Amino acid sequence: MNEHDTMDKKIESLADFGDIAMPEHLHGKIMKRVFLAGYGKYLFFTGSILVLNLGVLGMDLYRTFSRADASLALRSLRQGFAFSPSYIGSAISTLYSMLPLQSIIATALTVVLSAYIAVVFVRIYRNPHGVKILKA
Amino acid sequence: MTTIAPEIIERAKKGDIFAFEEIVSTFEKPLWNYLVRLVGSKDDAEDLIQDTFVKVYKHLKSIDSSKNIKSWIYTIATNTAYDFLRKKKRESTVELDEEYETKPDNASYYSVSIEDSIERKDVTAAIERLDLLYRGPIILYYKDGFSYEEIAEMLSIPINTLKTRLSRAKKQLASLLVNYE
Repeated sequence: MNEHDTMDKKIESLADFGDIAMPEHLHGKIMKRVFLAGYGKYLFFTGSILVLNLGVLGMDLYRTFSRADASLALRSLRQGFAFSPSYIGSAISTLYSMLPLQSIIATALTVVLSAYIAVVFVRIYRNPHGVKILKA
Repeated sequence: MTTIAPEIIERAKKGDIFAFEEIVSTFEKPLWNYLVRLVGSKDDAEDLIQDTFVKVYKHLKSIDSSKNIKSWIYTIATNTAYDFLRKKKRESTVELDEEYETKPDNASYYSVSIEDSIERKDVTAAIERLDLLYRGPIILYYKDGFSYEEIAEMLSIPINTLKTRLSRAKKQLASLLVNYE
């Protein structure tokens, strides 16, 4: 066998070389990057709107609760605190009399949506298996 | 050869991230092997494989499902790696040379039998010292089993140019291996 054939054999032996072990975390890293490339801008946009919404609602709540009559009502609720159905009933009716229903619904929805987006981000960010975990 | 069903590609093209994850799962290991051999560094290959799949995801809509997706993904990986290597070489030639000098450790990348390890280490180290122009074609042809036509298309060069590069690569490899012996 001449030198040329030996060289060919050596180069052709490349095909039989063993695989280089891929780091376990790499699949998750790839999918995180892909997920953020695909959905990051939408999540950022949605998140920004929710944060803005929360801010506006927060200011609205602050304005409502800082009114003199509201402060008085809240103080009497605090002073008469008890774990009883009558107290809970009166607390709900007091809050309802101070806040319009649409404010309560908007606040609840904003909080739930913000929490959902935060959970999705954390699940994507923490899991080592890409986005498959979202199917669960 | 690694293949993927056209319907999965179609689903991924419509934005189904789970279908895209199947594409990633299918090609990540061969691509990882290719990139580590091409750039000679696991850390750089980690960044490059992520960049490659992000580019694949962004441009997936432009691919014809009947075409060979493996070649297409390898084309993106090759261009990404070449751009990176050119930039790295421009930024710090000295740093690159120092890195090459540490290459004997690369033998630990491979799960090979002890009797083959010395020869494989030599061939691997020699490949990493090949000119950038020749390194890609050698790995794509001899390790990843692509045809002349596929590699020529990936590198956007005529088949005869590719054959010339492979022939010169073998000559350069021969002289590098003689130096190792």
